[in-house]
Amino acid sequence: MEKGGNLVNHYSDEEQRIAQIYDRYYLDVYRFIMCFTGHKSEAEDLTQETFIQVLKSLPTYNSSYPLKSWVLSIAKHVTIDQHRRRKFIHLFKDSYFQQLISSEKSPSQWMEIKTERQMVEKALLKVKPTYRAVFILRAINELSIKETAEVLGYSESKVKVTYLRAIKKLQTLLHIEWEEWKHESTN
Amino acid sequence: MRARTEQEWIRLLKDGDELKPDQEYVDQTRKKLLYEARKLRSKREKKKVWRMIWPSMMAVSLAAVLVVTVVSQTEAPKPHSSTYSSLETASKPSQIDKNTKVFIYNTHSRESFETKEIAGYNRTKNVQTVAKDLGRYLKQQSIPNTIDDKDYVKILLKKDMEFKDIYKLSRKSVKKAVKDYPNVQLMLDIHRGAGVGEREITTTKIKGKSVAKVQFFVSNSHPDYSENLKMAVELDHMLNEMYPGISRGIIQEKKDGYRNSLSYNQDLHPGALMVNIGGLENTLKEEKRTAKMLATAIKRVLNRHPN
Repeated sequence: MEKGGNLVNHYSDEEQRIAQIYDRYYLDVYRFIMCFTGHKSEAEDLTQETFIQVLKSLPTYNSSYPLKSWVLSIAKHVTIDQHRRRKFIHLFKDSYFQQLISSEKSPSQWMEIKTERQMVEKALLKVKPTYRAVFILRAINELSIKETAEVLGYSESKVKVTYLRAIKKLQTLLHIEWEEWKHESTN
Repeated sequence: MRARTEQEWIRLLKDGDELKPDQEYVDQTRKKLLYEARKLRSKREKKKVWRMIWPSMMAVSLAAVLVVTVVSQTEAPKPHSSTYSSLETASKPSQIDKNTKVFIYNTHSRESFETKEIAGYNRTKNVQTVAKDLGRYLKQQSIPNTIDDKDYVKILLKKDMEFKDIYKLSRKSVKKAVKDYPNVQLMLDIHRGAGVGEREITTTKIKGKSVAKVQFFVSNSHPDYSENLKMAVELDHMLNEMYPGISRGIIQEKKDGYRNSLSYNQDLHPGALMVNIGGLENTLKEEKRTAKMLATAIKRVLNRHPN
């Protein structure tokens, strides 16, 4: 056994690096994927997959590129890629968001917020993937226009335009849902 | 309930519990990543070593082809005296066979046969397996022998040494063996050729069966190398006499000019030789047949040199 203070440092550089990146960005990645897919178990799987990809790609990471944008671009790639493949299976499963409706009796106020949130979530799943990605990165992950452009490989003006279109589309969908909801609840 | 503004429904979405991962999941994933990082690291290190083995073995074969000096058949073999053997009579562990005449080891312990990838490692079909077979066949010929089954590549990886230094590792064992076995006459470092697409060069047919060809390598980087060369010549002749075409001959470094600082442990004993048995594309079966024939040839050669 070696003498001295080598005991503390029993993780290799690579292990330390990936743990550091994970601690810093797991929430961003998870949120993005959760919003994008609407499935908890899928979000868990794909978040893990994202960081394994990050680990494998670390040797080729260009450190002049912003780390956060890099990690999220891998998340986006993994999500869109895998989600496309898995979509078919999930068509037949209840979505996690839908499962929430059937939870126990709750105060009506709480139920109302839940229901409203579900409306937003449902609407989000209805817009096309590019809108969804831009919307989540900007609104949920709170990335700047520049960062969003880096993640998606867009120009900044494309990010702006796409974001505005996504919002418009979401609002239209929400308005329809809200009307439906009002109609149902008054009947 | 009323229609919400944009900022409001974004807030609604963000505050949802669904966007928070379970703490247990977060911890599990962290652990999994650390585990994957460790796995990846050891994989990379292995690859690094194979990447280093590969060119160096290629270099050896290439250098061999370029500067080969096939030893002329006129050099008459003379009986050699074991001048290198130590006369030390210190006490030794009981399992050491003091009668050992042939000491066998594998510096490149992981050179394998029948692998899926080039320069891959096959745990059950490699030069160490061939060494064991050779030992068994020698025993059948009642030649006392000892096999050093140290996995030098593994030790190298563990010690994080450079591949070129692997002979330093086997050197220790050979040195010790010279002391331990006063009657030793041959110290064979069994290798395997590394060239791709060389199956035709490394294979021949003996009695209708395909067998791996043998090739000797003698280093001239030490003053007494002619002793080693004589031994190689004897074995080469005996092999081809008994099994025509089975030996590809002897390769040597260029006589003068370039001198490799590596002696491949051949300076330690006049019977220390490097032997290539077959190549990358031979099967273990072909290797075994050759091991058996080599054992028979060794028996005959050693009979000429009773010590």
